[in-house]
Amino acid sequence: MSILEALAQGAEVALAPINLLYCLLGVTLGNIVGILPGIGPATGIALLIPVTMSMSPEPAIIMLAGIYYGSKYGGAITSILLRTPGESSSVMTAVDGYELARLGRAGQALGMAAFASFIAGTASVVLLMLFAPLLAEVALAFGPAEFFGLMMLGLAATAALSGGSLSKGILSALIGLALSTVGLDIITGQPRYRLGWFELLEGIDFLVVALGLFGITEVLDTVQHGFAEPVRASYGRLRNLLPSREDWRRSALPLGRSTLLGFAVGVLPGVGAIIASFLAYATERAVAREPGRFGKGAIEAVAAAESADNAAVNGSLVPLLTLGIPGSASTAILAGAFLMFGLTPGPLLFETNPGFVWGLIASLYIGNVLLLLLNIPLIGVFVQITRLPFALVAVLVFVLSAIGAFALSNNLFHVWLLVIFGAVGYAMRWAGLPAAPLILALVLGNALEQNFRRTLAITDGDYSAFVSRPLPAALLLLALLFAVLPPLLQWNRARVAARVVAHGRAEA
Amino acid sequence: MSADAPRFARRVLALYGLFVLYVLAMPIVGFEAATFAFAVAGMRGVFGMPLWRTALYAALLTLVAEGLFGIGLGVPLPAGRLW
Repeated sequence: MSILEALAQGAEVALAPINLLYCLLGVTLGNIVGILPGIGPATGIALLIPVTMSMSPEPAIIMLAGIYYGSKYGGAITSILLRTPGESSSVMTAVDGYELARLGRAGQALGMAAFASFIAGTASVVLLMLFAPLLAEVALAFGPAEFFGLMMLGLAATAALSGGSLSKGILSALIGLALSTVGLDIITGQPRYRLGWFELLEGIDFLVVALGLFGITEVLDTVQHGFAEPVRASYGRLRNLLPSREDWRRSALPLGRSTLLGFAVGVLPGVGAIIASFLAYATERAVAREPGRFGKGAIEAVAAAESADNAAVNGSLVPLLTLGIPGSASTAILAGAFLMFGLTPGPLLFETNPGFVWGLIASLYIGNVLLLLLNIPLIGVFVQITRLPFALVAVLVFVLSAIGAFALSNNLFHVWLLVIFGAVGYAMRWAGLPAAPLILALVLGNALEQNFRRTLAITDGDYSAFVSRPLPAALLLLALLFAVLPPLLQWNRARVAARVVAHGRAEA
Repeated sequence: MSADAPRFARRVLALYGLFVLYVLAMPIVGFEAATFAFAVAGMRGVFGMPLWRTALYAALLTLVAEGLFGIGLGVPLPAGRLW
């Protein structure tokens, strides 16, 4: 089946009225999630998974993915109008977007953000469509040792790149792996670490951990650091949302470059949209003819940051769909949702469920069109959401988290687990431990263990099977480099700095 | 550290404490009553929202949660022992 035939099959799925409706619902909710402070895409997806529990997989995943990429559009609105990014990856949009708003050009900045998001979103789906099947075909030849190596690489990269120190990232991943061992042994069926609780036989559900670590913790953290009460924004009336010809001339090249950069960065595990938009902004300032305009209301900076942010989202779907390796907290929660519906993300998905995968890909095109249509005429409605009091948002997140946890097994056990993981998440935030490696390790834990033990079973317990073939050996070496290289580089920098100081003293 | 840090830290503790009470109260008074009380205590007590707005938002929040999850999606919500 050619790519176009597959896409036509996917379009049939995505254009079914029910899927179209949930796509619209997902992108609208995503937009709102992006606008609200204290709720990121990971929290938004986790909070709304319980809504999808009684649905079939296609509309459910289409809606959850819609929340993910829709939040990127919404994040730009508060960045530009209030200089308060509703979503962390919109930080760079705030720099020049807010300056444009102060210059009375809020409409054009919002328009450019929406068009840049749309163009980058659509172009990156084309890239996803071209690369994903190729990668999936290669991955079909992978055995358990290769998958083990890939998962170790994904975990190591996320632990190393998710912010903070490497050791804290690794510790967070190890906690996630430990939590994933709770429940029935996947090979022998023996119960493990259930501490006498019958409810733990099925293991610790990723959703409870995600709701605690992202939902509850995010709200507590926002309260801890002070929250901005709704501001009556002073941007005047949003009359003209269409950027001028001059705006387009300035923004066309940065938009194209940042789309490619954002997609490439998004594919890498652990890097994500925040770094993509930072890199795009820095690159554009470096190559600009008038770098002095950056930071003072350059519309091309808004185009660059927004296009990289949106392209990175679709880039991050490549490893998830083709290799089953999520590269960020949001995609890890999406991967958990896949598993909840009995769909194992990875290369086999293209073989066993082509209608689902291509339906999801087709829905990304449709979702981007819907977001553009929503964001241009209805911008005034979305702006009103910025005036919602944070107190209401905070209580809403707590109530929705409790409902989500309760819905898992219809008893309060999971709600108490949520209370515990809320406190654990807050303590982790306080100690500087990133949450993304934990959730990623929890979602991947079972598959990682399964592939590790399968490899050993096939080779009669021969551990050299992980390094005797080139691909698993290379993947494990790369994973090791992620763990070893940053401290080595730091040590080298400290050594050079000490030598320079010593040289300076000797000369004096 | 900002001058407001101790006040914000107290708010974190108060909000988390209220959440624990909310979970404790659910099997006793039921989801609806517990949610309404938690919303009022949270918005008024922790964030200092005016009473009439608090009551309005709490009622709306309880209705939406019950309507969307309990009735709309058929998610069974915790029932109380008291009634």
